[in-house]
Amino acid sequence: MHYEMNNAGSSKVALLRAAAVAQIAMVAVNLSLVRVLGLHDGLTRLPAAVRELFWVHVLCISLMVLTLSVLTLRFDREIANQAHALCRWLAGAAALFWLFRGWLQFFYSLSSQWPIDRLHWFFTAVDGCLALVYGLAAWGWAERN
Amino acid sequence: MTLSSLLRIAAAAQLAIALVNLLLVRLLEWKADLDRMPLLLREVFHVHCWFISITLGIFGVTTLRFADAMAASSNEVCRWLTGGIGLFWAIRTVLQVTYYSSCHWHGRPVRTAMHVALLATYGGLALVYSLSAFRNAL
Repeated sequence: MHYEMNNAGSSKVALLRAAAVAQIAMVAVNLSLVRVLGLHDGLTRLPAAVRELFWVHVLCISLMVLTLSVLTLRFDREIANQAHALCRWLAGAAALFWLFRGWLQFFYSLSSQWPIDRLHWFFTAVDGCLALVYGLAAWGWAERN
Repeated sequence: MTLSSLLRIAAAAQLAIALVNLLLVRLLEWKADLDRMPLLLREVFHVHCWFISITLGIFGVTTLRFADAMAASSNEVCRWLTGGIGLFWAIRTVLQVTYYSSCHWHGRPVRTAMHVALLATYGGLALVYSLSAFRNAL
């Protein structure tokens, strides 16, 4: 599938590519979360079943985000042009995913520690930007096309 | 049974797993262990649980909505998405066998049955989505 793109179209694609790259970076951060947040000692004191589930969850969430990134990079033009209902659906799902992530980051996660450092605000902003880009791809850009 | 029906069953299974995942702490009686965790680790654990359920919810609802298109492998987006979900479940199946310690279920019939049932479910989900992704290549 090939799509003719004007400047607005190419900026949508650029935003989606940037979102995909940001998500790949988030995967890298997620995989090193235990080291970044200094959770290793707490984890080693947990029963093996809980600790193993924790790591399985880390890996599965990383896989999900990586899948979103790969699909976005592979079908950036199709998503920008809403070429298929599934593209719009995927963008909507990604928007809800990141919106919920941002909401949790702001209101629940680290709630008793924040503002612990600038990381908290940085991740809230990244989550919000990702939700915005995918939200526009799902619901905002269609009206202007 | 058609691939479309299998995909709908897979969607229902994922929605069920998403629900069970939210009740996991209560079902496995881990509350006391979680209460002893450092606060930050406990919050990360809960957030991860919710996100696994959201992920499975997205997979389930999207599959229900596009089961016919996925089964027909009607376009490249469907093939890539089903390939991605298939890979997700294939890795989850491998983890179920290779990562979890067997001491969790060894000598406990109910837990062994749960382990086998989960293994079969995860493997089945990987198979159904992979069939959908690669049916044109077969």
